[in-house]
Amino acid sequence: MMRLRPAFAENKVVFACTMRDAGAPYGLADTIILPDANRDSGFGIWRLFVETRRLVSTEAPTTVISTGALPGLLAIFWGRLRGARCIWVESIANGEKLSGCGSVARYLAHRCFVQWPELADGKRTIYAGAVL
Amino acid sequence: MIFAVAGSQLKFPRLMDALHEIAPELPDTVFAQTADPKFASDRITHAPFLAPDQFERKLEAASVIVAHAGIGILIAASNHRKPLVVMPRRAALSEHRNDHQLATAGRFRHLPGLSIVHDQQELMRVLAGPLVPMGERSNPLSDQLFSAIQAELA
Repeated sequence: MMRLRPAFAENKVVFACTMRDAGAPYGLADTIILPDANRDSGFGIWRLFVETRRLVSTEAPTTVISTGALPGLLAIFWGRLRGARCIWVESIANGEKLSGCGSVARYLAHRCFVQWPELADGKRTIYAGAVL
Repeated sequence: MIFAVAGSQLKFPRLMDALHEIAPELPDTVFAQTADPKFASDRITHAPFLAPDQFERKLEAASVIVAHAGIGILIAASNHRKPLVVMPRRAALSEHRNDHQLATAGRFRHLPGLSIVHDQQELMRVLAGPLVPMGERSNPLSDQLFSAIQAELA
């Protein structure tokens, strides 16, 4: 996400992350911390579900953008319900197939960017460059 | 310190043996993460695996990173702004299940700070020459992605 920052230099941005202190090296002391969970987490998923709903309700973003994993996907889910523009950027680490969350995000988000041309179908998944 | 990285999954004897061979001629000491508990060398220091925080510290301390052509180390070297030399794993030498590391190296060969080598001689030549850090200059592909995202925000 930090590599994408130049893209929203003109926007007011609220960052959320599952890792405490992850924002500090980038001067983002006010990063919102979400609980971490993945599809194997059981109850943790429900907690994340509630927390992402609260976050999206409180901040009322016009756009939700995520570079991955379940917390971002759930934020996109709630953002979509609230009428926000939702953007998924699949990690450049995935060059052979979409991540599990990316496979869902391509239907849930308004736009799903992949970073390998081979993963783009030109409709659900778009290749428009890469962070490297 | 030259930080050599095999990655967390497969050993890479061709790279580690090459470093062992050329170690006396290198301008710097070598620390290697080998993914190979059986690796032995009296010329380079090494460990099969490193904990994530140890790995980060080695990246930070390195003058140059030498690695397999994995996407993880490409991103790490770019984030840490270190010169990176990669030797792609070859399926024909049983170093990986296919030749996707050749494709990865080919795709990113335009990046400043990335050198691609295929054998010990090339490795020695690159390490003896001038090296520049990765990630210090923007590249056209990331500018394109930023523009595409900005268009979505408008």
